[in-house]
Amino acid sequence: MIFRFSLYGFLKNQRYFEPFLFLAFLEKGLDFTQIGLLIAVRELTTTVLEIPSGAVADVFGRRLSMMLSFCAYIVSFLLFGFAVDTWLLYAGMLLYGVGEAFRTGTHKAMIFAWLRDRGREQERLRVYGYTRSWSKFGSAASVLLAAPIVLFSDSYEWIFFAAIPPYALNLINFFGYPRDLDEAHEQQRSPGQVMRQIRRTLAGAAGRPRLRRLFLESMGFDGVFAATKDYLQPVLEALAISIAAAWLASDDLSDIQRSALLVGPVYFLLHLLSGVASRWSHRVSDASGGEDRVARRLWAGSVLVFALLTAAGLFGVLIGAVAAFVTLHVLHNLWRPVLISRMDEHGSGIQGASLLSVESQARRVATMIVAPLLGYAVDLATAAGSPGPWWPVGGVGLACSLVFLVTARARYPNTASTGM
Amino acid sequence: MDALSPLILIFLGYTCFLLPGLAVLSSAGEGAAEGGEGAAKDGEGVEALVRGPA
Repeated sequence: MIFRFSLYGFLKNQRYFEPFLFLAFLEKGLDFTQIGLLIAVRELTTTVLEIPSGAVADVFGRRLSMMLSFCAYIVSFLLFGFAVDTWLLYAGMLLYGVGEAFRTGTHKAMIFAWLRDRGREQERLRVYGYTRSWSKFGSAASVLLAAPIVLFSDSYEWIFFAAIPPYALNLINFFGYPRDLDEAHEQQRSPGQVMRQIRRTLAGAAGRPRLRRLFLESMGFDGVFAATKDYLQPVLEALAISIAAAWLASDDLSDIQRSALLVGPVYFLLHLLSGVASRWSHRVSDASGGEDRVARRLWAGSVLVFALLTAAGLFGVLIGAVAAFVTLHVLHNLWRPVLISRMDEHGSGIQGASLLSVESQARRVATMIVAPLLGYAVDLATAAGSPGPWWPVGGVGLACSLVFLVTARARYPNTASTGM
Repeated sequence: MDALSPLILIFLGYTCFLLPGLAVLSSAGEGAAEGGEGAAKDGEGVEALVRGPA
């Protein structure tokens, strides 16, 4: 079964369009405000459907929930590929959000159920880490496959269509999952029960200042990261165009092809570094003397990176902006495991799954708010004729990181000495 | 570039990157099975790899 779980992760990450998503939308004539709104639609759909989708998985089985999710993804890829009108893109994003809502958490629950049934619960981290590593390999392979398709086809449409066969293969993969992973014998939960559980979690978290703070930190780091990370794509496109004359040589190449030459290698490197950062996060935490302390250092690192991004964006130093984005991805992969571990530490007594569910909803709400506003700010900066219109991306992150860095120093002044 | 070319590109992409990746994933299990580690005898090679030597 671990082969099937790993296969799922590998195939799930064959999203060839991901490093080119913003560029594909720009190519379809959208501005950054509209792209931000599309992201907000995706996040809103996922947030709204997350609770009922969990109830569907409980009532009809997790395998069916995963199949529904992948069918929604496939239709969304078709819509993205064929879309000539903006409303089709919104429909595609809505279905993509449906896919996310029915998928997130469900597969992890299946892995843990499988281990529990075999009395191997203590291997959770190792098995989950192993399957997750195959997801990362899948991401790296997907970039190697996507860049040549864009380069030689001179179009973004085909990378949406190319993602369909691996997703169809994953549908077939689900047929091999045993029925007992549905856990139909467990008590089924209605949406009302799920809502009550969420309310209990929120009430429990509200009474704990540290836990409350962790939710806010998740919104500030993960939520803002999700809204800003894909601006790397237009920055890379601008860089590719600006250096084309120097050493990308041929005038025969279109802007799309020049972008592919740069997006492919940079994203491949980014995935590799992210994988390493993810594996090293526990070592960084140990070396820093505790998770609250490493979190404070990561906020400090985030301030520096966003300051670099703001300056590079303001003065149009594109290579500096690319370096800042890559570093930001690495920081995020160090941040995520540390946050989950801190949640686990400070959230004892509250059901872990509910805690993570509320955390992911809080994070999505932040992205939902920041993404359209950021898009609007970038459009304004572009219209104002700024030498680099990307500074609002850095500015939003810088303001947010500064708030959390300053308040972290006030809140945890003694964490260094206590090793908390 | 005609409409067939992107399909050929996608096919080549699958052949060069997706299929080798799947082959490595599959052989990770077979390799562990051949090495006789852990639960390899019941055919769950990858599980043996994850669990490591008994």
